[in-house]
Amino acid sequence: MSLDDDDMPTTAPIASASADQEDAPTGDEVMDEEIQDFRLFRKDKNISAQTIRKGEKDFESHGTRAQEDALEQSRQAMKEVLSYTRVHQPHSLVRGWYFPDWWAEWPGKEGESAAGKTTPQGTQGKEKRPFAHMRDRVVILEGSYVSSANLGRAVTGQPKETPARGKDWLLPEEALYLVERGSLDLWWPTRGLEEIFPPSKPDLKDGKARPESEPAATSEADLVGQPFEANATDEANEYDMGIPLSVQAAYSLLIGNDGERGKVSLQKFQVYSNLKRAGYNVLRAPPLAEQSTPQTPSVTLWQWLSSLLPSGSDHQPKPYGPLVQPGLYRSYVPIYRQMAIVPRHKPSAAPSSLWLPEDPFSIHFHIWKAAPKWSKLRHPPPDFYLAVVDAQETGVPTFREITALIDATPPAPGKPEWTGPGRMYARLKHGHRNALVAVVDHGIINYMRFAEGAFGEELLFERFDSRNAPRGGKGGGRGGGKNSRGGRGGRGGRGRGRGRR
Amino acid sequence: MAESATVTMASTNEDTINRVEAIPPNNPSAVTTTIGLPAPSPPARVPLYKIYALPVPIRTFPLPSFYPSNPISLIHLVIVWLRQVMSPPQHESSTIHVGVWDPDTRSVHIKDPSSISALWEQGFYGKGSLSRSEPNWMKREIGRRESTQGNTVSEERTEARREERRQAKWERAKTELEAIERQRSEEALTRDEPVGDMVAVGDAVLPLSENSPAVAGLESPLAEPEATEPVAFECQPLMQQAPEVILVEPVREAVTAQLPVDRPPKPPVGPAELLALPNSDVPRTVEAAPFCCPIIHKAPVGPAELLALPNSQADLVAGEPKEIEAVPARIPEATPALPTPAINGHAGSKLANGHAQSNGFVNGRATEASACVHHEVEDDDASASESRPYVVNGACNGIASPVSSESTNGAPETRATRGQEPKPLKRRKSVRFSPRVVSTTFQHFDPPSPNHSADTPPKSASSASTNGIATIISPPSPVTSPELITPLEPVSESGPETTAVLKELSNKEHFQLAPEEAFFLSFSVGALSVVDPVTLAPIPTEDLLTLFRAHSYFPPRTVDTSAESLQPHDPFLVDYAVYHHFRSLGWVPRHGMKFGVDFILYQRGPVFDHSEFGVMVMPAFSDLQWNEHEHQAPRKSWSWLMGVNRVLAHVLKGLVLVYVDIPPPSVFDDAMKQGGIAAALKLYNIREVMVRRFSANRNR
Repeated sequence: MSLDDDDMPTTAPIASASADQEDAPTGDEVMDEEIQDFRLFRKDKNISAQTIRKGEKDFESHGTRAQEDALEQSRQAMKEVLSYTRVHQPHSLVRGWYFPDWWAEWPGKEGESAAGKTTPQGTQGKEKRPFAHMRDRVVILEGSYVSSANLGRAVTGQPKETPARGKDWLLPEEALYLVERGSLDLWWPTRGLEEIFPPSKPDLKDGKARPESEPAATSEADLVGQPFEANATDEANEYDMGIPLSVQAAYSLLIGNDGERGKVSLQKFQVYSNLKRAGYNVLRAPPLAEQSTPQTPSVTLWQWLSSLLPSGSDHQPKPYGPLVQPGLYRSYVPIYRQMAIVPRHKPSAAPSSLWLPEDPFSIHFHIWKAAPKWSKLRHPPPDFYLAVVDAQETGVPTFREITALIDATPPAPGKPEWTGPGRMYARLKHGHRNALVAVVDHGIINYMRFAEGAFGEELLFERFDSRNAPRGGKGGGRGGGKNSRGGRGGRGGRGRGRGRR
Repeated sequence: MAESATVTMASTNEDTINRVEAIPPNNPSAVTTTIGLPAPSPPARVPLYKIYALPVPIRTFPLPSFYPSNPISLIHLVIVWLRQVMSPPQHESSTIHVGVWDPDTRSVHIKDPSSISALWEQGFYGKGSLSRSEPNWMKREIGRRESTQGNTVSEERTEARREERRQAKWERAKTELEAIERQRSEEALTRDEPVGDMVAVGDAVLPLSENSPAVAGLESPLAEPEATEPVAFECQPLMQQAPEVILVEPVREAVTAQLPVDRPPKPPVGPAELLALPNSDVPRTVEAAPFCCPIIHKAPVGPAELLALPNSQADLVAGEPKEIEAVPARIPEATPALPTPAINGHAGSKLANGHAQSNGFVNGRATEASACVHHEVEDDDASASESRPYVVNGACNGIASPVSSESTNGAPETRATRGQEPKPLKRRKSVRFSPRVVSTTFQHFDPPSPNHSADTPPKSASSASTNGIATIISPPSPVTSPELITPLEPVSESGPETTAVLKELSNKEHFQLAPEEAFFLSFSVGALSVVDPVTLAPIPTEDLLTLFRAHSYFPPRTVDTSAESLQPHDPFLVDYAVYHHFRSLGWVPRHGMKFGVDFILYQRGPVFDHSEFGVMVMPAFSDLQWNEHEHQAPRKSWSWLMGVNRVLAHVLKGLVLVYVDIPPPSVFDDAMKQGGIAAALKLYNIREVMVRRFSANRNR
């Protein structure tokens, strides 16, 4: 239940750290240190994030020594946790350069073309590379950042003489998130990309394993694990290339309005950062044009055919009732069938709405729960689909907005074991498709889950007969499962629609 | 309901058809018939699923199933079939209830008791006008007056459950406080300081007492007027809230009663502690009896405690100055070594200063007086019954035992003064922390307010007004333990009179159907006929629809062709589409204003389960034709949605936004012309959207 305030800031670093560690087998020093530090807290000092929060809350001092001791202990624990000194190991710091216009001429609809270009051999099988958003990538990473299993994107398959070939490029929210965490040093270049990252010499061996595209000035500062301010003599040369940027400058460069190329809106960045800190893997969703997949008409044809059948057999209800014809009824099913005049929504595999999602009610982020095998290129379908809206500028979505938003997500039926009347509530609450909406109100984020409900799939009245049956339906209609007599008792339509359609 | 219960019970052993036939709609009124009957034995309870067997006011006649393994079942089937062929049952829906349209309340009233019970039991339509939902005002009223079968009504059960919960919370708080108290005394024991240095302990352990002038009084030598003068001033503001504060008086007795005798008693100072202590005199007298010595040794520190010291006691007999002198005179004999009497003495002298004329003191006197009277009552009976330790009397007033012995003589007088003031004590407003809540709190079958019992005999009225007084005033009964003196006794004495009252009782409650329910019953089921309030002529369904649509606006719109006329998005139509949608699926929708939503959805009905969903109706105008009409649904803010969701989450319901896509007027009008409302309703497109809060920290 999500009643109480569920912010658990103390647990978040553990999760994200462990997730990152699992994801990055090469070993990120910063991450490792965080883990060790928390283990230290847990083991040696007997303090875990849980114990700090645990226990009954005392609302006033009742004057016992025990209470004061406990209070003092937790104060001490908090002090120890807070007084932990964060150290930026020089060899783990990564430098990024801000080149906002490098990919500006990249084709906007790059999805397929870029993917096709990146894998010229064409033997990628079914797996399609995720949309790269190359036009929006504005920060180039120097060296290869370890967390690049999760962040950034490199354009492969480019000619060898291309400057900065094989380097990872970051989206603005990724760059800003790293800057805020203290993992990235963002620099403003004073020279061109070609000078900072000169193209590799063609006479060298294949640059895949060890890219030779180091900055010219810091060519001796080689790879990961090499401090770029190692030698004092290099510092003068270092500033030839550019100047470091402050966090404020990074914000002003990377935060912008919706739709600006190379920038991210503040709300989206806040949501991104919140989710990343909570341990999720977040990727930008492909743009709307890429999302909309024209549906095959075969399903609609079948729907059309099936919709013809009952309408032919149906009788025309009296204009002003009673809908239930007077007569002798053997069961409640025909009675309720006659009442069913209001059309019921039937979820289907194909999106049923005629509208396309419009900003801001469109999918902005794809979200995955932390998983060991996740990488930015190979990952299962997203766990959640998220739209980011501003609480002040928008309101509760209208019919068009919400149906378009929900239909933009693939069908997500509930668990297959949710069958029978006992799990009806679970089925109903889960819905058939769902989308998350992050409502950002001046930095406070509230996530709401909107799911396509299908009450029409749960025909409660089919249970009434077994409930009133003389002997057969035991249990008063609730959970009287298997011994439904004959085919027409009541269980006929129960399993339809929620399992495997 | 009891009547229908017996009918159904009689036919349980017969086959289903008989059972179904025996169930309402035709059974006579349950309520009116049972009133006159003495009902010697409680009727056997009928299972709920039998009372509420029908989901709609339509009976079905299922044929018994045929089992190939059991050939007799075939005979059974044939017999049933033949019987239905020979004497066919009435075509459903056989009973058409009659409701009167009431334009003032915009509801349909139903007066016939059999219709009322039928509509409630067969699908949970409507609500009683004087009840929460089920029309049971009559039962409640009978229960309230006879108090023997009263707790079968759902409202009463709710009240009892709340009382139980309150009791449980109280118990929990008590055990917590006891644990704290134990801890504190243990900590005090483990200290190496001398036991007599109580002030130091109090200072260290109880930060609250640091500023208390009473501690200063303790530190100072016995009779120092400067030190104790602030005590009087400290008391002064507290006395303004007299009724509550005075009741804290027994604090010290209870605390010391929980402590072992050989331990230095710790003064309770924290507000929670003071709150948690017993506030009625009954437990005090019983429990404090063996510990009368610690009571005297008690060091009163808290301001509320000081209030309760014998200065108010002395004030009781303030007319006689010799009593006031007697109090400090006695103290040194009783407890020569303790500082407590010093404060008492000063309080007494302060009383002589004339501070005691405030209201607080008057109330305090009343409390003490009632306490004293109570003991005196006990004294009287105790001679006949078990040998009760008579220290009780001393314990009542602690040091001021002469006063209480004095008041034994003057007991009739104090009772007389109480007679002048009908309600000297507002016991019910006090915090009920007492080990014997049973005797001191009002029971759930007590009338909720004194004026309810105005028509009952005066004796029961007085006893039922406040229990705290009732235990005191009631004449000494052979049963001497005070917790057995319940206000029920006078009621049982006046039993014949109450039954006479009940016979004259008539049902003041009617049943009301919301427009959606009434229209569903008449349009969809055909089990209701709504009549005009003036002419009493049945309103045809078509006119009924117009009527309901017009009355969904305020003031009601007139039917004409102007723009202000009826529209496809009339609130009634939109709500009815949703109502019909869920009803036709088998749900039981009821209006959910109590939960801040438009409807709540029950799977079977309010008597069976809690509703699982709250429904918010969201009109939508997605058709392009609506753009010409320039009509858009008002945009709801996010905070509105979060608020609704929060409220529903607190009552463990899920929120469903039900979007109703409304057809444009031209399409709607065409459909209405061709197929009536049945065709028009097919144009209302309904989509449910389940809304839930997503917690990023719990879905990882």
